[in-house]
Amino acid sequence: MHRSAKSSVYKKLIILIAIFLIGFASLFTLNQIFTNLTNQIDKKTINLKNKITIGEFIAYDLVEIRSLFHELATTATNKRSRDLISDKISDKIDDVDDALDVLENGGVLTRFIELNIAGHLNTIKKIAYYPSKDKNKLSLEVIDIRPKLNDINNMVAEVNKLLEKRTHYKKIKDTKMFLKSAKKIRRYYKALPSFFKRISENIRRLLYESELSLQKLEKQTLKDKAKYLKIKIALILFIVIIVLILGYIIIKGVNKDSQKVYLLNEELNENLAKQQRQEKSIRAILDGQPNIIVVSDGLHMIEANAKLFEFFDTFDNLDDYKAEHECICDFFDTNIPNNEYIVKKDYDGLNWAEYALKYPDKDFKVIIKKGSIKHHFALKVTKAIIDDVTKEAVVVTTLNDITSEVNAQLKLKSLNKNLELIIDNKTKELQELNENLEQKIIIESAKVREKDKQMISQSRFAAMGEMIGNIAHQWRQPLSAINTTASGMILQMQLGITDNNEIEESYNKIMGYVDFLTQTIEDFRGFFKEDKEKVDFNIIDVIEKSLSVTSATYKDNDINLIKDFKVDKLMANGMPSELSQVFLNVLNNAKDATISNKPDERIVHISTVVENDTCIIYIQDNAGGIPKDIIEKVFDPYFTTKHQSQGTGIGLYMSKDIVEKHMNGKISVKNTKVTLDNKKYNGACFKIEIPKLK
Amino acid sequence: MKKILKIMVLTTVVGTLSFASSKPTLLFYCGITMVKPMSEISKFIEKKDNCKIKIIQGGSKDLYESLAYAKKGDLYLPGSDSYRKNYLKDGFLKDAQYIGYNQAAIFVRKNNPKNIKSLDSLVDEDIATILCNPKSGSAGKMTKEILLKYKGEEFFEDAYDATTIIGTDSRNLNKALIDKQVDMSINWRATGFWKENSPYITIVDIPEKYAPKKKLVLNLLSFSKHPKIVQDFMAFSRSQDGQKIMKKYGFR
Repeated sequence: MHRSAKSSVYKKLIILIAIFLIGFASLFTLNQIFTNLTNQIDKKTINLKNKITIGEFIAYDLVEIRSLFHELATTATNKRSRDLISDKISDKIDDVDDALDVLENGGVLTRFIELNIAGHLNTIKKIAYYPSKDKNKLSLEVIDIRPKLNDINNMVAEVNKLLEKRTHYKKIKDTKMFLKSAKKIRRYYKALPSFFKRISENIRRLLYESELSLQKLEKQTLKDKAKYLKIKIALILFIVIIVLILGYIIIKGVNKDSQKVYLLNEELNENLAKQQRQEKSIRAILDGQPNIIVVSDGLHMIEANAKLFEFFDTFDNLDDYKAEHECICDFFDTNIPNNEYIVKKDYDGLNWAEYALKYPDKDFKVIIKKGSIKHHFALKVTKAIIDDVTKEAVVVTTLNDITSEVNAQLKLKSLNKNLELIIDNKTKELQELNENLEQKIIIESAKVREKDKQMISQSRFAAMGEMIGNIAHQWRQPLSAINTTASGMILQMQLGITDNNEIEESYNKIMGYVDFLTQTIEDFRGFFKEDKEKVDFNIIDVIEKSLSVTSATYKDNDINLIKDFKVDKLMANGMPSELSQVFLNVLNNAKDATISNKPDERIVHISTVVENDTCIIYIQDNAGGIPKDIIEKVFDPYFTTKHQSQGTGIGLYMSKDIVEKHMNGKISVKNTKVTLDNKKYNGACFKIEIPKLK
Repeated sequence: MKKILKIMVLTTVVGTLSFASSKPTLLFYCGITMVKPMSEISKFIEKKDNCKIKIIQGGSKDLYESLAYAKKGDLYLPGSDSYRKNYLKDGFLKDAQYIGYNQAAIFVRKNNPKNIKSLDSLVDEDIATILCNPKSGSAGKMTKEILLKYKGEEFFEDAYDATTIIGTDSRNLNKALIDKQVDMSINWRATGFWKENSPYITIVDIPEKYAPKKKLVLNLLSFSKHPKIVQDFMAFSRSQDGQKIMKKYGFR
């Protein structure tokens, strides 16, 4: 971008210079052209003036011819003098002829000028004239005069003939003929003035016309020169304006580009500073590396970090190094019989770096000797493309000094052998320990089983404790009634108002109470009686018995028990006393939960249904439900939310064991919502599923 | 660049200047007597045919010699048709058009102070005369013809022996008379009516048997490059407008 902008500025400057040069050349050429045009006009004027001069020469010549003509008749007394004059006339005619030739065809007229100045015998005047190249243009002078020259020649011959005749008649003394001849000569000469006048007139007319032409030409020349000057000025102005406009446009463009270049320069400087910072950073990163890093183009080293010169401390920098070595490989130890080590510079046409690059998965190493010490290096060669366009790449070689690791490995190898012995011994010891451990596990398992038994026993005792509590509640009312009845009888007896019927009636009442107490004891006993074998039984009966056990406790705690049995009989096969424990556990938990969570009205709802040959018993409370985080754990052994004095964490575990293992059923719990008497309740709902007897 | 500029300048400057000279130019050898009407007709034709007509004036014989020498030109109008008859054999004269006639007359000074009535005054010693050279102009040729018819060769020679000046054409005959160098001359009568001559000249007619009317015939020259314009010229000269012009200058 920067280069292109700079190049654009240079190009524009060159164009600017070229425009100015072209402009200058154009002005110079223009000036030359107009100078040539003016010169040509001037040449035309000079040419016309020369024409007039030639015409004047012709006029003088004709005057001389006329004069010679008169000499011929008057002063020439003999033939010789007549011939001499005739020759002079002939020469003059030739002069006129030459002048006419120049006027007709162009050229230079050379005339000898006779001067009465010493040393000027051959004074020559040369007049150049070039007529128009237009073939259709006529030289009127030539047309007018040339035919007359022939006439003059004829006239000379005729006059000479007349004069000879006159001389002859004089010689023979023939007076009559002499006079006649003289008369003829006189008549002839009388016509001569008109002849020469006619020629002179022609010449004068032509000179006059030429003068007019000259005047016209001079006027035209002035006009043309003025016109050329105007055109020249206009063209000069035009060129100057065009050059200035173009110059202005280009300078503007150059200025714009210069600003662009300036901005780009600033950007470049910023980038350079940035690059320098980056280079310093890269240098710092390189120098900060714990490894030796060498960058090359594949053959020659380009860069290396400070670690190289720390290692090779005889070199201060890369230039020092490169002055003596081309490659780091100069220092590789070549006497190692190990494929892991690079030991050659060349591997079948590949140099060592290319070879390492060819096998990127191999962990190559090199040994570099420094003095007598061998330094082991892990070698890593990578190739990095630095220009995506040209695909130019650099080879980065990293040498990680692993000498201490290699030495440690050697030590480790020597230690390894001792370690194997130790391991063998330890293995033996472990085997021995293992055997003892099996025995210990058997013992511990027995202990665990015993503990489980104890737990179950504890559970039973806990249940029993609950039972005793319940019995106490059950018994309180009949015992109180017995006491009241008996006290009433004693009082009647002491007052002597005893009535046999009343005593019998009281007796019967007491006996009824005793039967109730007895039945209660029987019921409780049944709970703790271990069933020896499975029997067919009615689940409803078992529920009713369980409820009768807990009824007093529920009543004491204002718990409203709602029963919802859809059928009278739910026959199942199993051990009813164990199932009654399950119901008691669940009912006791419901009681404890409702007491603990204190709802406005304590309700426990028990219902039964039969679904798909399964008797299902739902026991639902309204104590708010079991927290989600523990609902999954309620059937785990030793899990309890109750105070340690209240619960053992065994009840529901045992219940699950009884239902699932002894009754082939299922027990589960979830928090549900139940609507009773148009009121909504939240609470835990235990679902007990027992296979129906078929 | 230089070449382009040169062409540009020459095209714009010289090109425009040379435009005027691109008209065809005709050369008209005209006997001096007929120059005036011919100049007027020429102007008309120049305008009509966008051309330029250059008139060379002089004596009819001199003019013929000039055209015969140059072999260039378009029109030849001598003062008499006898020139056509004499020169036709040369082959330079082609189509001809009669446009009027010329007749010679005795010219005397205004109001004829010397009371000259006939050609006999030419040999009167008290009368100064000017006669045209028979070898140069049509007037001279006509004079010779008249004098020979009038009283024969001797009279002709006597008249020329007696004459004060021998002139070359009708113009310088009239000039000598106006300048009062002479009292009498024989000239084409048309020139006597011209405004520059009529105030000074009185015409004395010569009987037609001595001075017959001489036809004026326009001749197309064989080397003419503009025969169409010449035809135009001839046609116009013969037309009513052309004849008006001829009459204006005394040619009937």
